[in-house]
Amino acid sequence: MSNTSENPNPSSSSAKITLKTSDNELFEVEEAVAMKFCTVKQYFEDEKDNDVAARGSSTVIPLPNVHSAVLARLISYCKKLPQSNAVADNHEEEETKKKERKQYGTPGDLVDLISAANYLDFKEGLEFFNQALADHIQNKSVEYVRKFFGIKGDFEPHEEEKYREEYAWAFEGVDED
Amino acid sequence: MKKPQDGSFTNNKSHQNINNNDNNENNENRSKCSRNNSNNRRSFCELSLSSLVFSLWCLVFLFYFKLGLGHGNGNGGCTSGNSPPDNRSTLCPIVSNDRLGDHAYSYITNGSNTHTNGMLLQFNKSTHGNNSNVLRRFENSNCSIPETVSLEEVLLKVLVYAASVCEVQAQEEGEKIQVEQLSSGRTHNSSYLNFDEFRNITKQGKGKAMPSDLVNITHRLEPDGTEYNYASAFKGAKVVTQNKEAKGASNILGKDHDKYLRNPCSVAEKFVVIELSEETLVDSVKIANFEHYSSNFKEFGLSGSLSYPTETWSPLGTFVAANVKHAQCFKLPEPKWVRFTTVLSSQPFFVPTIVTALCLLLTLFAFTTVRSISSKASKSVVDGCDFAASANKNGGGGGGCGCVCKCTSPEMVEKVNSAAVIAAERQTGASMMEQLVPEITTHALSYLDYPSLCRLSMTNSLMRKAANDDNAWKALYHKDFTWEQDSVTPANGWKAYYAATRAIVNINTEFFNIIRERSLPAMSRFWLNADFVKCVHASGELFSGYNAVIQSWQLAFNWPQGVNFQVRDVRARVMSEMAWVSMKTFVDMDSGPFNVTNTFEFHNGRWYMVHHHSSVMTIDGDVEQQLVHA
Repeated sequence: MSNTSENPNPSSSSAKITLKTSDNELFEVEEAVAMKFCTVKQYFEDEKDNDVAARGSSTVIPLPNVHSAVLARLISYCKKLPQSNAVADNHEEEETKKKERKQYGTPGDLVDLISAANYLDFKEGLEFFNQALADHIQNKSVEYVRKFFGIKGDFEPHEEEKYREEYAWAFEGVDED
Repeated sequence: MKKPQDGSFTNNKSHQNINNNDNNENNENRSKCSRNNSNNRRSFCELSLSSLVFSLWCLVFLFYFKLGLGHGNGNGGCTSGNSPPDNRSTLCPIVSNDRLGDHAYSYITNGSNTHTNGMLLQFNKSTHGNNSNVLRRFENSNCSIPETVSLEEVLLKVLVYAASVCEVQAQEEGEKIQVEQLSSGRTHNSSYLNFDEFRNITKQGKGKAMPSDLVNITHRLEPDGTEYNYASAFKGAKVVTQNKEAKGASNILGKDHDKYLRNPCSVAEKFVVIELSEETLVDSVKIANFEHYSSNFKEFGLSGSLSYPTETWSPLGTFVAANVKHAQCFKLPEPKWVRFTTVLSSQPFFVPTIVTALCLLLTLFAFTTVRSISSKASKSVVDGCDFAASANKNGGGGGGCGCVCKCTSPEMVEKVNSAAVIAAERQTGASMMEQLVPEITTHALSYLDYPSLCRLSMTNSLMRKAANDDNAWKALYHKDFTWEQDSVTPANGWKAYYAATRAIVNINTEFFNIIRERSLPAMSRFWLNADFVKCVHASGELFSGYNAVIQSWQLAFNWPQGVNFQVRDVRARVMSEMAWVSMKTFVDMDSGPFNVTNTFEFHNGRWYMVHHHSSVMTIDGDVEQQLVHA
């Protein structure tokens, strides 16, 4: 995968791949970007093996599990990737990354992004969005997390009391909501 | 999977396989793949052995065909063991001989869950009783050519028969209006129609009024907090029918991952019709293929209906699965009320990689504050589904059976263990986390620290389940404490072990806080009041028994210099009632850093220190840590 992404002259030489999302939007993306999505990559390679002659290069790869809005964000994230791929042991860099992660707003978006990244087998994206999601609920109170995800508590009061006792140590130093 | 290009190749494989009782299915499937190729058939016929195998396949096929229909030919076929060879009713006994033993048998018995008719029972009996061998099959093989012909006729009949049901998708037009209404209800109100309304609209056909009474949907859960699986055999879901080549279709609804639905790659259209346990608003479907030695499913379509048999299967969507061995969740573009679900795989236009194995359903979970109306739909078994049409399109399967099963072995068998239909709610805002595939949830949670994970587990029962995932806690343990103890298997799971370790580490920290505060009362409470407790100070003095130990601490607290130290490399090992912690302390005294070991016992609901040992660390050379092992 790294080979394809390091195409020296992506704009002119790399082929375009067309992806079709669940709402029938068509996305033309550079091969280097599309190859980040292992699911697409595999499909593409299978396709190549099987019937290049029959279909030529105009293959449209259907992604019925991915909505166009989500795919657009994934692609834009993907395009930013090569630059930020440098070793990230630097503290400053970690901070910028954290800020970057904050941009991916609402939990609903994130869940969609994670699902899509998982479906596409897009490892960097999966890691990034998972971390972003974790950032959101890190060290927050139970109530905040419930609100954040829209989770309805379904424990009986005495059950909840029991769990709170059991994990009393988990309630120290909770951030303000 | 490459189709066999020459007959001899096929035959060789068959020959090998025949010697191997375990691989009967392989033979059958391979034979089937070569069937479409007339060249193959010629050389094929030359070898009695392979033709035998082929006939076996046919028999199996026939058998399943009968099962699938569940009516018609009745019992006569299978019980008339000594009919002439070109009569297809003889085929069943032969099959039963061949399929003896091994896992093949389990498919058959499983089939009986779904189709419990007398025929099957008799079949099973014969399966049980006979011990056949290869030679016996050889004898039977002579007549395989005529059989082939007649069987092909039969096959054609089947296709025609099935074709009558296959207008199905042509009729989806009429359904569209309703679908739009549904979707508009969803987007604007983030609610779903309840079942009654859906049904009314369906009846009206072109009903125009927007439903007024919209009902919020919630996941239905099991008492233990797991997702409710509407496609579980335990809940009464059934496989109503499947394509005739499919074996063990009912296994997809069971919990046993070692039982599966198998389909030959060469089959153009694979489908399964599943009766869900009740009418549900299906929002997503979970499918898995846990079998490593088979091709995975890739593209498949879902259709649904509230009744069965039906003329109008409304399409629920087509999906592409990733080539992975865990369960995958597919959200439907539009949630729909459904009782019967058809899973079709291997759409010819997607070709290259495809489904081979179909599989299905485990966890249909979902909804309802809505009444679930359990007007048990009829369970009549009808074979159906739109598969003859596409089979024709495939043009005899040349390249059409584009299975990409990359089987390197001669096996073309595909096995599918289980899969799941998850009908999930998609209520905006509500429990977005729950829409994630469990594996992903776990993965996402592994990025959290322990208090966050703990608090997340307290939000509701589903999250509790997800947040209690053992692997997440193991990862967290390694992250927070140590990579040592990787081989340990905590008796109560990693979460408990994490919590226990956390508790011990905190108590150990408290010990040093007491020293910093020079609080004798706190130190007195900290030690177990017993005559066997011992304390070895850095000076090398040993104090034995509770009183001596406390006195020694009193002395120590009277030392003038401040005790400012750092504790590092804390390693704790916790058993049910005892724990020991080793660490290094770096003190601003002349005596230099110390190796310290503390031992605790659990009494009356709390941990007490029973041993403390501190000794000077040689500063340059790394003294091995004095870890106490049980």
